[in-house]
Amino acid sequence: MQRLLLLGLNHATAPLEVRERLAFTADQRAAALAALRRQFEGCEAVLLNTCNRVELYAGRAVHGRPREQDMIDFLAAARGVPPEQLRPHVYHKAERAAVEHLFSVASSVDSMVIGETQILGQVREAYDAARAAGAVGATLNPLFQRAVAVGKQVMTQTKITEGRVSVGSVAVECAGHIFDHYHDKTVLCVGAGKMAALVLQSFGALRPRHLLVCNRSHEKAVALARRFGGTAVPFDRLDDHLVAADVVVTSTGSPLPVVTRQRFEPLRKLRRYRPIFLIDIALPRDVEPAVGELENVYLYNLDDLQQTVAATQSKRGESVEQARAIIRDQVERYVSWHRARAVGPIIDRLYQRHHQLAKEEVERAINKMPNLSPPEREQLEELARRIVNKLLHDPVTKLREADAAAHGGGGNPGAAGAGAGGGAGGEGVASPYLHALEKLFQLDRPSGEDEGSAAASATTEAAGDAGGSIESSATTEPLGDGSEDAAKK
Amino acid sequence: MPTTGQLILLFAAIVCFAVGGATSFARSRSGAGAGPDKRAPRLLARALLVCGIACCGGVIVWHAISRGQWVPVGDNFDALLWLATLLAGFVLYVQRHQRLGALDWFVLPIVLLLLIGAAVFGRTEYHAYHPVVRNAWAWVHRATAYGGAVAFAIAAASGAMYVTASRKLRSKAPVGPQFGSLERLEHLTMLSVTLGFALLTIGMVTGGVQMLAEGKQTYTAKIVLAAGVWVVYAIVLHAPINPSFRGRKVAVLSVVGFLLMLGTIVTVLLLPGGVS
Repeated sequence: MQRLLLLGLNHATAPLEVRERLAFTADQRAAALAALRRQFEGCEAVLLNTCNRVELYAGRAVHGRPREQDMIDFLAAARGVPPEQLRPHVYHKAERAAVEHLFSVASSVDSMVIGETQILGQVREAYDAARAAGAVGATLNPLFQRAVAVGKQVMTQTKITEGRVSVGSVAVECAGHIFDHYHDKTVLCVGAGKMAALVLQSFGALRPRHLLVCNRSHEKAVALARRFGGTAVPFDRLDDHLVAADVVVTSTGSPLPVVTRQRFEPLRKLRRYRPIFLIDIALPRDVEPAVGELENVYLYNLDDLQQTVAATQSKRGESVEQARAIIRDQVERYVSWHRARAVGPIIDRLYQRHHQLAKEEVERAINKMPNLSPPEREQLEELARRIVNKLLHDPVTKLREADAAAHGGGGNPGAAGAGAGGGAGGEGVASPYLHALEKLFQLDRPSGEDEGSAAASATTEAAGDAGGSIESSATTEPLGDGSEDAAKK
Repeated sequence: MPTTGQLILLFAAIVCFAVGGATSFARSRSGAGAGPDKRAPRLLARALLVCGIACCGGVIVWHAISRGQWVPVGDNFDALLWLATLLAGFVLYVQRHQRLGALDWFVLPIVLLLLIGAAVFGRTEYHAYHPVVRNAWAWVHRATAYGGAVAFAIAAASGAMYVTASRKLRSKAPVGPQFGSLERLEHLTMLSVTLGFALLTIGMVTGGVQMLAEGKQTYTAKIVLAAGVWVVYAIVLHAPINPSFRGRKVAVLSVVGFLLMLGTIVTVLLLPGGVS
């Protein structure tokens, strides 16, 4: 039995100052995942790191680690932040709540700008990074595959992405409160990332006099400048570009501010105190907040822009409600599937173990009776098998009944509306029985069981004493891309 | 002296401007956006502004007929009415061409003050032009002085709008399209100050000529205040040379200059005989 945990913070729970201190670069994320798995052996982990959120998803054994406090300590240590500074801003979810949260995140329902599509790519990227680090397994693999599929479904089946207000368009709107026209203005972009491109797209449409792209990697600057008909300029002459610019978009990956007050203050005179609009969409921030205190300097960071977006965007209530309905349905499906997957293998192993024991005892008995004919040997083997099935029938039936009762009686794991709970859905009535079975009969998972076979578990059940045979029935639900398809043992 | 009928018409103008300004303000406070819900209040505010101007025009004509004199700015009542009407007319013009919906929030209070001032201080006798300077000098002095006051009022309003919009932008509060852009407001302020400064300078020179011709004392409060106004606006006009004055400082100075200008007008009104 695996347990799913989530610990994170986002735009709603933590200010930008906290989020930027917890931001991971791609390398830092890979190192963090490796460190987490070293510290908590056997656990699975995905680290989702965007401008608005840092979330750590973990899958671990029911009585294993990490736990909530471990996860806080780990994140804090990874980024050098005191845990007590982190604690007031984090949220912790487990099992079903964690599944629902991830589906909402992937569908952009939990985003500050509802309907933005970038988050789906970011979820996929986080999953890919974890997979590359070998940090995902039977719990997080299907979960993240399902989350991406749900995100796609919401974005294609609802109108949630229609009419959304982008950060770029809001930046242009804010610039419109400062500048009247752009034919004599210079727009400077520091950094050449995806976000910079998005904002630059909005400003490029205004046809400014000069559009400059400045990046440490000159090749990237050239590529971005070419895309928007601008000019790539050298990074080491940033001060000159800041003097020339009226609108500056910063989006570098620098861990330290690129534009400090100390750097910018002397440039104001060279700029002849012209107003400047600084749009800092980097995390950690590229522009020191003190720069925004200077006269004729208007500094907007990501939070400022997104709050404006959130305030100005239409509510799109109907689409959001549709999205939430899809998410609820998909959570039920996933939870049911996961539950069936958890119960099935345990029953399977229970039968396998007991039949193995019976077989060994039958072998031992036959060895002591060398005169037995083959039909008699078969009779003996059948007898042992029937005894095992009869002995296990009642406990297994009770287990199934308890599981069904705990999850609303949904016998069909793929059926929407089946009860909540199970492995990902919380600790139902069946869970104590399952733990007891595992412990009493030592039904630990075979060491050689890989991700694929774990995902494709089967439920073996006795056919009763009539036929006395053992049959297996698949209890897994396809996860969209077929990787998690059921497979019979 | 205004008649009761003229005062009633003046009161109607005050009501039109007050309700129009309040409608315009309420429209913007009810949230950003356009559409039919917003169009009706905007049209109502515009119609009330036009009505107010028409009422003021009516009072000016009626007053001229009743006193038998068509030469404007002959007494306080006439002078303040002209000032208020010109200001309101200018708001109408600017709003039509510059898309500065919030300009009326800042100018109409000044207009209302001037009209109330006309009603209160307007009970002065007609001030005949001095025989020596009954010619163009006096006319030019009054026209430029009042024209300058109108320009400075617009500069002050756009300056106040600049300060408000700038503060909103800094605090990341929604600004709204009624404020236009800081660039446009700064341009309007500088344009108004330049025009007002030129008119004020002409007014001061022609006023000085009148004073010398009439043999009046030159160091009166009015003269000192007018000189103060001139200096403040000279500093404002200094901004292109010393750009550290740009932006908020110019906006604040234009408001300060207008307050001094108002002081000058009040001083003139309190002088025996009113308009001088």
